[in-house]
Amino acid sequence: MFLKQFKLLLKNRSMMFWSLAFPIILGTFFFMAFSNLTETEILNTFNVGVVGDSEFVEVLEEIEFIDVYELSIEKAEENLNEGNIVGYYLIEDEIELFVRYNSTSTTILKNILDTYYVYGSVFENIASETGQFEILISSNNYISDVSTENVDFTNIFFYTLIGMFCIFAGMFGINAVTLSEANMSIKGARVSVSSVNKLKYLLSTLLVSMIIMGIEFSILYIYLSVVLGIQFSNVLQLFIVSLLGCFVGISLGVLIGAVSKKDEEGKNSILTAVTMSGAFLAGMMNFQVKYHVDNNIPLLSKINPVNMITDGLLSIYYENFDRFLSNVGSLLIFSIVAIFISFLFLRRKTYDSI
Amino acid sequence: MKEVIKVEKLTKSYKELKAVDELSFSVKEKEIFGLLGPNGSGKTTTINCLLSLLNYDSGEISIFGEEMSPTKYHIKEKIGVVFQEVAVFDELTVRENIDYFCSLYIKDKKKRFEYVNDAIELVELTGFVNFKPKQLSGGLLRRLNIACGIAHKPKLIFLDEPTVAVDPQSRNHILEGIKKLNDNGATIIYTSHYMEEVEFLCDNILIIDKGKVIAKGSKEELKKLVGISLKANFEIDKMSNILLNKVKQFKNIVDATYEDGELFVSFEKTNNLGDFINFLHDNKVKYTKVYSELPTLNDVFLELTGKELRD
Repeated sequence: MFLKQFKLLLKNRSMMFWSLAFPIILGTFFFMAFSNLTETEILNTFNVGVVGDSEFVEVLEEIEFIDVYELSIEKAEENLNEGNIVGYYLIEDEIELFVRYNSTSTTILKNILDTYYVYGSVFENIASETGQFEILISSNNYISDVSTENVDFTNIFFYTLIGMFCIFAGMFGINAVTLSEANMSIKGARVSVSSVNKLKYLLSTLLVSMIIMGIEFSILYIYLSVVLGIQFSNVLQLFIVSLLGCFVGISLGVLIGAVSKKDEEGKNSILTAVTMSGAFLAGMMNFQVKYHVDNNIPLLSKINPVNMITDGLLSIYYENFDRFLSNVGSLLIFSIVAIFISFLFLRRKTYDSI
Repeated sequence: MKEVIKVEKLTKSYKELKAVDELSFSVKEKEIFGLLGPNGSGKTTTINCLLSLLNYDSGEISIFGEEMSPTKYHIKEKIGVVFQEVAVFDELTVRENIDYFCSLYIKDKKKRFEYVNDAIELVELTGFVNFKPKQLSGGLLRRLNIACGIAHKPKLIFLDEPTVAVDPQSRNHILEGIKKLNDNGATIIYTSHYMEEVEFLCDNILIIDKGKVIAKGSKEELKKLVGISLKANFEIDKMSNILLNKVKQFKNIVDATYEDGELFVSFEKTNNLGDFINFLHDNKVKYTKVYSELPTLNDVFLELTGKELRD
């Protein structure tokens, strides 16, 4: 049965496309888009304005390739218009970045601000206790290592890509439930009337799905690192978080599959809606959203599977081992809870209607 | 003959609607048992209750002498099911599909290989083993659906409307295949709203409507329930009301109607078609064609419910 499930899933072209080919294609597009960013451009020092005062200014001043100028709002606008600065930060209740054109430099400025939002509270605590912002700088590889090490800031997009890959595993979870439940598909009815134990069949399908995701991740990793030359900072941690992320994806799929009464297509739509909402709340579209959610609705951050995966991957990117461990724990807890709830729904043997 | 299935007072409701209402019947070993009724009469619900797929309100179901439940795997391994809806994997070939579903029952590879070959032969899909389901016609797809349900050589087979939307040639293949399965010793429960199929295949028939038993017995027993022995229709260009009234009063005529140039006549139990033809000659009625047929299960249904099976 195990081998049959393996063969069956491998032959499912649609799932293979979305879970493997699509991330590879998207990764290739990312690579092509970023290949024009030369190291020379990144290494050039550039000027940035700051309007207002906060600890963020001190953070900026620690960054080697940025010259920070404290300005009034009028002066900042004037300098921006004349091209003397590539952008300026307006510090009020929140920090906003103003730029005139999009460029590598402005992307870096945006990235610095995003990072500050995500890790701000941690850094502020450290700062208030030690007064050493070097800790912040040293935790930001893209800043401290850009001139010498392998990791560069564009890598963050590839971590996001891996996060998305993990969530696609949800399709396998939905598929596994659909195939084993009589009220969800006619094939499920066929399995239910057979002499195979339904839960064993489901678990076998999930195990096969997990193995396939593991193989696919290895292929994706080899493609990104060997073919495209993307170098990731900690491969072991990356594999741990990614495989756990796939497990979370599959668990989420199983949960949606078990709870929803819609057909497979409808369930995949729910998965897409949940992951897109999760991605939004996890700050994939705008990091400030993540900052606000983390600070104002921390519970939402903790139960958002996309946030857990992206946090886990970012903790590798920023080499924050404590955060890595905490995220590994969250990912495991989420999966166990999701599987347990699903089991409560799936343990029934007969249905009111099919 | 041993009873393979025994159902007593089975009742199943969907909210306010009683889909199956105190249904009782039994099926004997090696018989082909027909469950006949119009769409929505409760045939599929009954089958799904028997298979322990559906909860039911009350009643008792025993299969192979044991009360049926979802975890009775030793009973399930002796059952094969062909659902009304085609349930195959588009990504697998014909052979792979049959092998996949057979593997849910048969673990031994060698034995399974033989069983799959036998199933392919039975449904006459030998020339299509490497085809994917999307490359098959509707009839061939139905045959694949049947092969997937019976490849493990079950002793009891449920076939739920297996010929829906099938061309006549494939329908004949399917019906012949079902006969062969029965000849090989399988007990078959066959649901359909096609009375001709049920008449052709089944030893015993249960007619249901709105979840209730309307009649049960062999086809001969059921036909005895109808008060006619023969139906005939004559193509006649013109017929006056006076003559039609005369026809209605002719001996042993149960009913006579004239519509669109055709005279429909039903005879009572004594068949006197010859006398009636003479009567038409005597009255100088010219007819171009004449057809006659024995009463069908549809007539039984019509007699008992006042409506056609396919209404």
